[in-house]
Amino acid sequence: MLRLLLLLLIIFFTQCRLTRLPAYDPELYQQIISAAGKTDKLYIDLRLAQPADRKFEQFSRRYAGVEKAIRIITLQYEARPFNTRFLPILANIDTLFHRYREEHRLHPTRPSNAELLIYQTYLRNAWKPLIVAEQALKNQ
Amino acid sequence: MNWESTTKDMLLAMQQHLEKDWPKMKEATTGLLQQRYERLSKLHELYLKGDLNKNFLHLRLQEEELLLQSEMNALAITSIAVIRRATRAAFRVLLRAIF
Repeated sequence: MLRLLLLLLIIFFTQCRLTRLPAYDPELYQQIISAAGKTDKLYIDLRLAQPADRKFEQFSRRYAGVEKAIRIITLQYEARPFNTRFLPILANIDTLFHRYREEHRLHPTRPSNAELLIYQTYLRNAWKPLIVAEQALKNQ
Repeated sequence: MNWESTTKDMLLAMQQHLEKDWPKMKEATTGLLQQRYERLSKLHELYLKGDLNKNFLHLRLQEEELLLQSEMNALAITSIAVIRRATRAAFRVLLRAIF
């Protein structure tokens, strides 16, 4: 019986060591929601603008605002312990955002409504896993 | 200390936690699968309508791998959190039985 107890203790502590997760941070969660909303709003406004008014220069400040929000969240995650599974999610958001920004900047004409809708959907779907992961940390 | 009943109680505690967390796990998984389905349907539809060109479609399809990686990480975090909660519940029962 003592062996069973020992075995259970070993399993428990091994599990703890290998599968540690950070504590839930409500402030960080709010920042993620806000950044995801900001990204979404950028593409909503781009879609609402007339094609002639979709010049990259007209939206460069907005892009910078979203980039700043992503950077701030990434920095917080980098400083957070047990972040190994969170960082790739953030890296993917960053990759997609920069890719779409470049596609807008180098677009031969202006991005169409269909293209903007797809950018918006892909970025919204890139934020979702981070939101799901943060919600899982509640009541740990 | 009765080991048989303690083991049973530990299993019961784990089971109760897993049952409680199961709908959350299911919701997270189906939510991510649903968004994949809707995203690809939208992409497909717009491409067939001629609103998107082939190059744009290829670029987005290549990005599916990134999104899948993010989704898998989110699901791994969710399941780790669920397992940790269940393991802790069992451990609490064990500690109560010992002390």
